[in-house]
Amino acid sequence: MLNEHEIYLINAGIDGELDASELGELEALLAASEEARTMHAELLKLSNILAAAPDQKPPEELARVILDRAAPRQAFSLRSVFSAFQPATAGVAFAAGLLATVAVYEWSPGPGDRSVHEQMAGTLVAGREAENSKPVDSLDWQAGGHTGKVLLRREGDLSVLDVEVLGEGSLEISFALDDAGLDFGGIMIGQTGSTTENQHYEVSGGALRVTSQGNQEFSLFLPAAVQHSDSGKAIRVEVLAGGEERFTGNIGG
Amino acid sequence: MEIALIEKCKSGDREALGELLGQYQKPVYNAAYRILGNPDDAADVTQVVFLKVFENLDRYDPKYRFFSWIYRIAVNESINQNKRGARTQPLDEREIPAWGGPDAALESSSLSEQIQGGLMALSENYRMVVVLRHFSDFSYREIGHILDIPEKTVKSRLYSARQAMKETLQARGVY
Repeated sequence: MLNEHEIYLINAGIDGELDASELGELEALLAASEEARTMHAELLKLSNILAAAPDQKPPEELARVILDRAAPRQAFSLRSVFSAFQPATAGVAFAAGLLATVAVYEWSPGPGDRSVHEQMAGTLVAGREAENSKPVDSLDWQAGGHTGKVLLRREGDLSVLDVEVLGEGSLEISFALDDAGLDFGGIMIGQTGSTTENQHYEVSGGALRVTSQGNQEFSLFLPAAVQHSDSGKAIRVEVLAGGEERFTGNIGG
Repeated sequence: MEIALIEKCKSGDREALGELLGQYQKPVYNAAYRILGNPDDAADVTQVVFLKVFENLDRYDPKYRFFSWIYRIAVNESINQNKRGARTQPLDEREIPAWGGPDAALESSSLSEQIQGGLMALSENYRMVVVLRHFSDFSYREIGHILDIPEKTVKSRLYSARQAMKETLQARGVY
């Protein structure tokens, strides 16, 4: 019966992990023990079989997709999220629920007044500091030829979702804010890589729905709802692409 | 040389990012494939891994090999992908052809599939060490760093995993 050290010598010998002294020990062991020779031969055979498995070839377009996604991400990094946007401008674009300009919005919660948020466009402020931002969770998804990422971070008493969407055609993303004990505080549209003319959002039924076309980047600012105290719960994210393919996942919690 | 490339990547040099990707994409994809058992999941994980690598280059600790740092991210993302419900087919739904013994198996282009079936029959912990040792050629020390476990655990886990893998391949007529 081989002892623990002898088993180690045989395994480590196959793996090329032995020093000169240990190699000498292994050679002596193999010369003296039939059991050791059998184990060594079996492990060598297994190692050779595994080594014979051919490499898998990644999809040809994978590198390009990664590089395409990497570029806008760098302009949308956590620390630069505020500096990457122009100063706030008047909220005229919200008149029809259509956001057509680059702006920074901050919520102005009316205590317990959800009706305000149901129709809100956001109250304009500029330049919130992002230094205290703490990443909490991330979620990657694919749906109907779109890919995307949602990053949840905490910024003081705010939950912030940074959302990135890549792909052609229209897409609807909804965030179940009520269930997570959150309110909609505002939306900030990224300059880089975004086509701000074709994005629409609405808050209804306790959820925020953002409809967008093409590549998009935006951040959602979500204060804890006054009437809820459980803003640490997961936020359900649903993606509807091309009217058919769906993705459902949770972030945070 | 690698450090210079990383510095270029930090500054957003697309060519440098492409070069880094060219060096590491295939091994990361292969490791993810061996861990997850599905090419689509492997592609998803590879994509997420490199986006995280590009975003977090500032956090790379040069005292470790750059490759092992990437693998640490890849392993974590693969685990996450498994938790999210990877698209891996259950083993009993795989089409496993009848085999005429080791020689026939080695001659078959499906050897990779058979090995993959054997890997997927292992627990996630066992599969990780087998993949990192046999498919990615990491040392015990590096595997310990990547999986955040003591080197002693790597050794014992690898021994048990190999025993299990041998039995699984024997049952499939590959060993």
